[in-house]
Amino acid sequence: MQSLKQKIKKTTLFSDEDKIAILVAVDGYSASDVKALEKIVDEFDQAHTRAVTDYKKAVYGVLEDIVVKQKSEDAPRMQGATDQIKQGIRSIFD
Amino acid sequence: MSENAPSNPQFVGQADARKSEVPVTDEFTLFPEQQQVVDVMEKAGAKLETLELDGREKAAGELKKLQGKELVDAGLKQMGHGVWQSVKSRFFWGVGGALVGAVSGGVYGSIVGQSDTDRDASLNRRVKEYADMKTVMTDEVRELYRRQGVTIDRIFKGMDLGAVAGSYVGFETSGVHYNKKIAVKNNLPPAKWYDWIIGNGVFGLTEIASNKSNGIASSVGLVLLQYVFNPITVGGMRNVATGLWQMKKG
Repeated sequence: MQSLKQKIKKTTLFSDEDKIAILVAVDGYSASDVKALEKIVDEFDQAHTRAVTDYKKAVYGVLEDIVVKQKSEDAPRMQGATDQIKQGIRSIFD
Repeated sequence: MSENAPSNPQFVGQADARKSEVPVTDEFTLFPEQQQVVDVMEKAGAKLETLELDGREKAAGELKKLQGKELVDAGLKQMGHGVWQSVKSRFFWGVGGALVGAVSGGVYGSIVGQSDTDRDASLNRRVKEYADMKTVMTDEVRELYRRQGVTIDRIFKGMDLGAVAGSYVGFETSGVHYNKKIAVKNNLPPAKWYDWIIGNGVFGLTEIASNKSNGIASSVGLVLLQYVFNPITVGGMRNVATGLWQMKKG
């Protein structure tokens, strides 16, 4: 049960309001509903993580490629720029 | 006017008598590296959005089968939530490109470099151009606004209010004497220009969400505020937009 509650707190599947309602009620759920809910959250979180990973891979790949292709005098500026972008993406998704 | 305006973001408000040596680009022209990044962000973002919606749709179907009312409600909300996630995603991906386009051309400078008299009319036009250009206002968003009884004009009016309010509350980059050519010449990112654009957009939505905007339905503005302009998203978008701007050469 504690593991399910932790997952509910962390998942992006539910809004904060929904999380509160579910966390309040979850102790009264049947065993089958608890199991089913945990499976639903796990599956969504895994799909979400995969999707975000693919996104980052695509974008970071382009960013790194851009840095590699820079002339030496432009490389530091471009590295700083791409680091900034990566930081922004991390703060949105992580 | 100062003849020695330092190339320091703290002094972006000072005009400079020297002529610009850097050609002033079309305000929506991106440099190749910027375009590369924007393109991949939009393409990968569209995929992410689709996968996110698929995941939510599947979870919604499963949740509705469970017994707890709050679970059923959460399931029922998922598709509605999914719609807003879609709005948020498109807004985000679109904003990434639109903001870069705006900054690389100095839309900000071209707006605040004008007199107060011209600024409001110009601002409406500029905001509409940049909003229509990219996916900021997709057909879906327009439809959602229409259903809520909020016309696009009123949204822009809200953003206009935001711009005016921004200048009064002293956003760092709202100096009315700022010169577009100065920023380009000195390779200055208008200090916190993205705060201005994002902040004024947020203020505009806040106006829509409040009773000040002729009593227009507030739910749309509030949802967008919640899902789009939350502090983490805005902060992250600032970093992304800053990095994209810094890729500009010149």
